[in-house]
Amino acid sequence: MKLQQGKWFRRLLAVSAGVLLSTASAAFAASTTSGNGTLTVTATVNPSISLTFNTATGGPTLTGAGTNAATLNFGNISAYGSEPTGVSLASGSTSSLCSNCFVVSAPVSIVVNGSDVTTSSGFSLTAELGSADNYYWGVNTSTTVPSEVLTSSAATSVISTGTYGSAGNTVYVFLGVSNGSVVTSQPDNTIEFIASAN
Amino acid sequence: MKRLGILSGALFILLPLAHGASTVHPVRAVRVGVHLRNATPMQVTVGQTLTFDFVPLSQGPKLMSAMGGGILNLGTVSYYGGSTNKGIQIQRNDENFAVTAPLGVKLESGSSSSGTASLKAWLSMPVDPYQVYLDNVLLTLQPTAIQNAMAMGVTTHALKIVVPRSANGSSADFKASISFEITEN
Repeated sequence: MKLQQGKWFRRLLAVSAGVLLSTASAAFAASTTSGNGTLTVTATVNPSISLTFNTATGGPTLTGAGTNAATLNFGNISAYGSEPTGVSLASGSTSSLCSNCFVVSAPVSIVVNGSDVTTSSGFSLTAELGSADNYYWGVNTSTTVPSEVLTSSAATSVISTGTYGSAGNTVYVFLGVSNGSVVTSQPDNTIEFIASAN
Repeated sequence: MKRLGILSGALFILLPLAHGASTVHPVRAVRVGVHLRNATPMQVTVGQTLTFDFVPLSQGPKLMSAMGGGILNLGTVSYYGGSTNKGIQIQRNDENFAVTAPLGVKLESGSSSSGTASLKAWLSMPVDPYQVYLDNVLLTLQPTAIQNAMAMGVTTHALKIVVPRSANGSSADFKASISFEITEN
């Protein structure tokens, strides 16, 4: 009887140990190694606009059209001869730009696109001459001679509410040449246009 | 009989100790009675340490990192203006723009440098109307598998944020908290 109890006890112990070991090995097998991390990402999204020049309908072909650094070449202009294609000789009074001078103009298209801006509010456009020279430069939204000469010291307002989009905004660049003077250096200047979201 | 009792008792004590140890302990097969005499010797790896950290990259934006946490400030970004921060790419689309930054991740295993780990990531909170991608996998609020066999050491990942072009006319602050989980393979 005592011997049987001992046998039972041994069996019980063996089974217990077996269960224990298989449980333990299962626990080990399930214990995978892992790690964690947290990354905080921040940014500020700003509104932005872009400005590019395009050749205007009926205007001279721009070099660098579609970019923000284009060149407008008036070609050979004169007070009494014919002007190149796309260039017009201003008629009537030019005194608002210069007196005793002849004035030519050519259209260019200014395309302004916006992102994260209120496009319905439009944009404003200013122009400023790169450097002072012996000519008279002006910009207007029509063929009417502008009332203000561009300077290199302050920006001149051109458009107060421009329209965003690829259709563009036509502006006319004016060049005034004094009569009765010998041209010693050909007109060659830059006009910086700046668009600002309204 | 008495010896068997002591052995069983010792098992109860030693097993929890082994589980909590920090170094690798091969556990030998233990023979208990006749039923386990032919048991296959088992070798388990326990208590390994797997560390995960964000690391600044020389070609990437500034990153502050410590103890598995990180702060990545992408600075100011815009559709036309791009980004002034180093290593950030801007891709313009019709309706949105994508801001992509390289992200350095360092994995270290206490046991070896040759293993691999699986990587999951998810957003801690919604980021509407933005979208966040890690290695071109869109992150959601649910853990998502990013890589199944990521190598130990420093690896570079692409963090992309898609920003819609809105018409609100003002600056907007973006903030996302991304959780990472790695599991050694």
